[in-house]
Amino acid sequence: MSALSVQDIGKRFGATPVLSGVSLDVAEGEFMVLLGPSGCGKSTLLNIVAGLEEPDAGRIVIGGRDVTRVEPRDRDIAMVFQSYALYPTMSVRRNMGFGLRMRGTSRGETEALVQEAARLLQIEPLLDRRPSQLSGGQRQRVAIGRAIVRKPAVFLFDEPLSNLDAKLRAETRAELRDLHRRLAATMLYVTHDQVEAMTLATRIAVMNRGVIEQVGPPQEIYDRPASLFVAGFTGSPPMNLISGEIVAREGQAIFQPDGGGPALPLPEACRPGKIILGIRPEDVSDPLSLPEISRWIPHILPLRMEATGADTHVTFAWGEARITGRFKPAVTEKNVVPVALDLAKLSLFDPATGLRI
Amino acid sequence: MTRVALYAALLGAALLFLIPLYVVGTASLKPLEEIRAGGLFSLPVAPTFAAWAKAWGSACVGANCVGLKGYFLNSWLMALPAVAISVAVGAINGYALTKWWFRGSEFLFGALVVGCLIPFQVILIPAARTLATLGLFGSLSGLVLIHVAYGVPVTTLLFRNFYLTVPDPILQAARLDGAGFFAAFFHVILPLSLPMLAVASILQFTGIWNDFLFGVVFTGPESAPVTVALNNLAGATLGAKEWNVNMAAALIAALPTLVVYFVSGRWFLRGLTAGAIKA
Ligand SMILES: Nc1ncnc2c1ncn2[C@@H]1O[C@H](COP(=O)(O)OP(=O)(O)OP(=O)(O)O)[C@@H](O)[C@H]1O
Ligand SMILES: [Mg+2]
Repeated sequence: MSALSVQDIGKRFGATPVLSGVSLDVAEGEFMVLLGPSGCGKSTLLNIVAGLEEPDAGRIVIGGRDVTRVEPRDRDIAMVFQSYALYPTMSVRRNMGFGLRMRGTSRGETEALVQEAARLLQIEPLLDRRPSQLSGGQRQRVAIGRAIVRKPAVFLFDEPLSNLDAKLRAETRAELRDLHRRLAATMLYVTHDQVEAMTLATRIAVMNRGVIEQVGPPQEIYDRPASLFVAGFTGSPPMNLISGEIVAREGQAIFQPDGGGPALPLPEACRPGKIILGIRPEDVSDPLSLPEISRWIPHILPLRMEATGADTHVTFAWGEARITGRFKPAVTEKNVVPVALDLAKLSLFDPATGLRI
Repeated sequence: MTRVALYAALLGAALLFLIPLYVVGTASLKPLEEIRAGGLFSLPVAPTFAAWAKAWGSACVGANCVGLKGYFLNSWLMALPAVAISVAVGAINGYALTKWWFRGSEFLFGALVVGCLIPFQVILIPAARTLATLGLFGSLSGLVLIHVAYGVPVTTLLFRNFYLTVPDPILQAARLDGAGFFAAFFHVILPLSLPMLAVASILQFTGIWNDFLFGVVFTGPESAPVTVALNNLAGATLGAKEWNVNMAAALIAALPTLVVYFVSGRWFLRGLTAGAIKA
């Protein structure tokens, strides 16, 4: 039985559909990350799971119980908001204990549970402060503390790290992962940051325009994107997508990019026709760093180079298309060619449907 | 140089506003002969509180020579509940309108705005009929009801605009924490509203205390507020005009609003300029 089951949820605001047929199962103890661009409906879905928003269609099941018409307070969930949403006039202690007190937990027991959560998050020295006396990172911890103190069946996070600076975000990310392991809690986490998704998730659900396009473990999402959208949204820089055509030549399937350029021999048989070929930047590199049996060395020329420190991104012209490869920082204009592609790592998409073939 | 000019202008303006208060204040302390003889701006030669005592305890209000004290009490008995109720109802309305969207809330809000704009002469007759039907015509409770009904649109608007600056997630968090409509209001929203409560209370208090029209229309000779009594006292036509008593009576009637401003002016400003609330 899954801890949380989202079944065929539909939602419109006025005439615009925001969610259509969204289904998602989150297993007990799983860290599910809902990944998608701004405005795709992530928060709306999370609010529906929390009960703050009513769906037009579908059901929400938590722990085997249909809670679609149940009040938020009775759903056994806790939520951490992007803006923290701490109660401005209450001390940290009261902020964290409020949910317990509202549920009739005794003063003494509330105090003990708050202490325990505060110890776990190392915010004990802050307990008597007001939210306005805390830094952004500290507020975030308090918001997380307010959620964990109740020990709910499911935790909901709505972009909780997006207001933190880069360094603090990385630290808090690591702590969240740690916290997930220690609490063995079920989490549904919303973000538009793919790095966050990759590092935190046990599984990722990629969402686009109110539809979930793929659900799977991070590596699978990365290696075998189910659609053009997933391919283009994950990875940094994202997957190279090259439009072209497959033609059969002497029993071999050949990929011919639009606008000419070297034709690529496909390792497997393929139906001829229009196609979009995808390849990750790290699979476009120095021949010596790619496996010999699957590499292919086309004659293509570099257009520009971009050093990031850890590695250097080089953009090549291949027919009309521009493809980016990832090289060791030692690369120079002179030794960047020849460049190789790892044909074992290709993804093929149908341009009509945008789906993986 | 500009600074000197600025202070001179401010001082001039302050004096201009203070002159009437000075004249009224000094006149209330002068015996009648001194007023008749002396200039408007002269200080009292033999200051006395006799006029104050008379205005308070024995001046004729219409036909009853009982002074203002009973009517002064009436005003308090009317203003305190009317202020408390209109501010409390306004706060809850504003909260419901901004944080608990419901079917028809837009319409209700529109109706309230219209309510704020209706000149009160328009509602006098319907209100009188309503009070008569309720059996409250001529009583203090009737007047309280009228002030509440007339004040609620304004207080609702004040609180609504204030609560729009309170981020919604704070309230969503409270709902998830198990707080219902009133629990969230009392534990989360109300503690945020202190500056606004002060502003609304001061506005309502001065408006209601100073009201004359509703008082004169809806109360009887016994239940009139001090403003109406003051008018009757000053308008008494028998005998010579006792300017000093009239001045003292005017000051007695105005004193509560003056005190409210002196004591809470700072709160008032703070509430009016209160910034957005951050979580
Ligand atoms: N109350 C509302 N009324 C009308 N439209 C809304 C409402 N709430 C959200 N929307 C619309 O629904 C869409 C999805 O919004 P949502 O907040 O779920 O996006 P999101 O994926 O969380 O985006 P972000 O990453 O920016 O937070 C948006 O296009 C938004 O404009
Ligand atoms: Mg969002």
